Amino acid sequence: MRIGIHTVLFILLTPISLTSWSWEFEGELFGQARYFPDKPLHKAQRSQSQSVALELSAYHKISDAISLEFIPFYRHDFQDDERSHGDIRKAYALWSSPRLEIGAGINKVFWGVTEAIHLVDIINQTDAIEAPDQEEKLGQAMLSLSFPLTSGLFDIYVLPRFRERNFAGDDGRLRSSLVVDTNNPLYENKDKDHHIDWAVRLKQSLASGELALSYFQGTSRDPNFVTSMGISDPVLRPYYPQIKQLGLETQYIKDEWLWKLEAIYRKGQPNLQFKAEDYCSVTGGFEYNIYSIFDTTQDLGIILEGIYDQRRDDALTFNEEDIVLGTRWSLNNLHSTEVLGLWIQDADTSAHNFVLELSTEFGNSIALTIEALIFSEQPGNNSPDRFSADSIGHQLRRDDYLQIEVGYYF
Amino acid sequence: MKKNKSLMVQYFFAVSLLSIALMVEGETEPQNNQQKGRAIFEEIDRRDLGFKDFSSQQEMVLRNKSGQESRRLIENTVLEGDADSKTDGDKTLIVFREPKRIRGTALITHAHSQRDDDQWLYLPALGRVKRISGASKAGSFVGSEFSYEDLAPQEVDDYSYEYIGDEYYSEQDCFKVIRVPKDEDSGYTRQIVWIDKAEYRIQQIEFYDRKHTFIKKLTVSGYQLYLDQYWRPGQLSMVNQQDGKSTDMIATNYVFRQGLTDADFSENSLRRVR
Repeated sequence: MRIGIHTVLFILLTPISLTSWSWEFEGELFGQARYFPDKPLHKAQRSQSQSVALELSAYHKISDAISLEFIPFYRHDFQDDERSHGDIRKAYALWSSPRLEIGAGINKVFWGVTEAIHLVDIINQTDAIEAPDQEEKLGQAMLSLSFPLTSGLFDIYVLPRFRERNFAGDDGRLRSSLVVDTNNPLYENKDKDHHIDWAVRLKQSLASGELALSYFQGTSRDPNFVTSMGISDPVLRPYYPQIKQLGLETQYIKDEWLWKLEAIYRKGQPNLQFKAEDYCSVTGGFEYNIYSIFDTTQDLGIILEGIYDQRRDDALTFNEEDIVLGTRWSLNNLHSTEVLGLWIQDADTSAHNFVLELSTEFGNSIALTIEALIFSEQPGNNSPDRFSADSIGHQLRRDDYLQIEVGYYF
Repeated sequence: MKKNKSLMVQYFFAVSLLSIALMVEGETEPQNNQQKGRAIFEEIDRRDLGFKDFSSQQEMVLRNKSGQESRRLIENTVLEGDADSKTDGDKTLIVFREPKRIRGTALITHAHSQRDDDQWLYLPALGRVKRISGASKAGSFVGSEFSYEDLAPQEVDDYSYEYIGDEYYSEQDCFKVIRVPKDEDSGYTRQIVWIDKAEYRIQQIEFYDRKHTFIKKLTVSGYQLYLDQYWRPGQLSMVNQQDGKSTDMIATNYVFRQGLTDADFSENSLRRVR
């Protein structure tokens, strides 16, 4: 007898699903190739990489109130072992009633309103080796309680298991000068990745906008780094401090304009010089959409956002004081072709990066995405003896790349 | 005196009857064409009262002028608005099924007659609920010849009307009414609508864009009666008169009165949508 995944799931779930046996299965298969035109900074790095990824999804509704969802993901990278990785994006049971929703398992939660940088979003760890845009997230174990309000929502999250951020390995592109030793992370708290983090969020919809306040306490998703001696070369060991973070999200809508603002106040995270520094960070701007441009059915969306991190040169990110201009051009043709452009300009140096993405569909099940990322305009900081936020981007100056991805959806 | 009184009574009765007759006349046959046009749409609205909620599956076939085709599959659910509310209309939930890349993407619209609609979009890949600008009326719906406003729930107060005559359309005796959108964000300056007199169903609409150009023609067919009261179309065909592109929308699997509530159309519910 051949024992497949269906059989295993059947055995596991038979006791609760005898009466209504109906799982929905879906999947996505991706082939991805990246080409790096510039000569690499580190000798193990190659000028190209290929990888394949698979994401499966199983969904089952036990009753009107209870549902189960399971989404495993795996990527195999033929060049960088560190980029070959698997993750349970979701393994989640949800019980919902009009006054209360209870969720348990691994899930993904998004907070925020802005487009370029997601400051307030903190529940899930970033899957940093999937894509440099920080949009991909690792599944997070949680127990969540949601209380729907008249036109709002109050959420409580208990987050029992911390996920470390992943990083490119020695032979991977898009990495720091020193390799990050993901096998030897450091934690402020003695419970390490078993520390129980928690968060609450209150969200209220208003007549022409919305407002959300959130609080998080626990292990920071953003690591600091400590240089240490590895087997042969110095390495960076990630250090995860305990933090407290207050978050604000607000949005105001007027005609085609969406005005957005996110702000955080964080305590407990050392700055880039590893000094204690409580800080505020703000991002905000607008999104404006023009429909039926040039008398066609094409749409054009424009975003303009600013980012300000109070730590400035000592911020943990090179998006510490930036202006972002983005456009989304939807051709609204038979292939749902879209072109996305994003220009991120540092406010006090000439550093900038640029993203151009074209996506199009072929029939029902196939999609093609072509993406170009330009990091080369990262001159670094003016005082080379001091590692600053601008130096972070400088490490990626040879990592411009062109990526082609074909997705098959089934 | 007695005779006079009797005359008076007769006269009084006659006047009363006349005024009643005039009142009845006033209700069924308005004095001017604006009122008559509006009355026709009030009647359409009245006949559709009380459906509570319904859902249907819609297959869209998009064609360009060289005949290439592309398919979209969506599920559409509508919750009837409170009939007494002057400001809030129907609520709709649209879930995309195909193309598969966007499956699970969902859009909730709360229609309002005095201000822009509220819209939320759910992006399943990011787990993100994104507020979008309700002024997007004139934009194309997933690349089709239908714009958001063509598919949005219609409120009588969204337009001003003028009845312009009777005409046979598809062997049915129809009213012909011009309606002018009040909202400046609308992509249209006017629409000419054919409504059959027998059942008050929209049979055809000609759309005129902001430049007063005849831009699109919608024909509606395959009407079926549900719950002995509610007519729903089987097919809507929109043909662009300028560039030859067209979209057929084939609607199936109508289900009425599933007992849905406001909670099923809330921003919070988007995260549970399948």
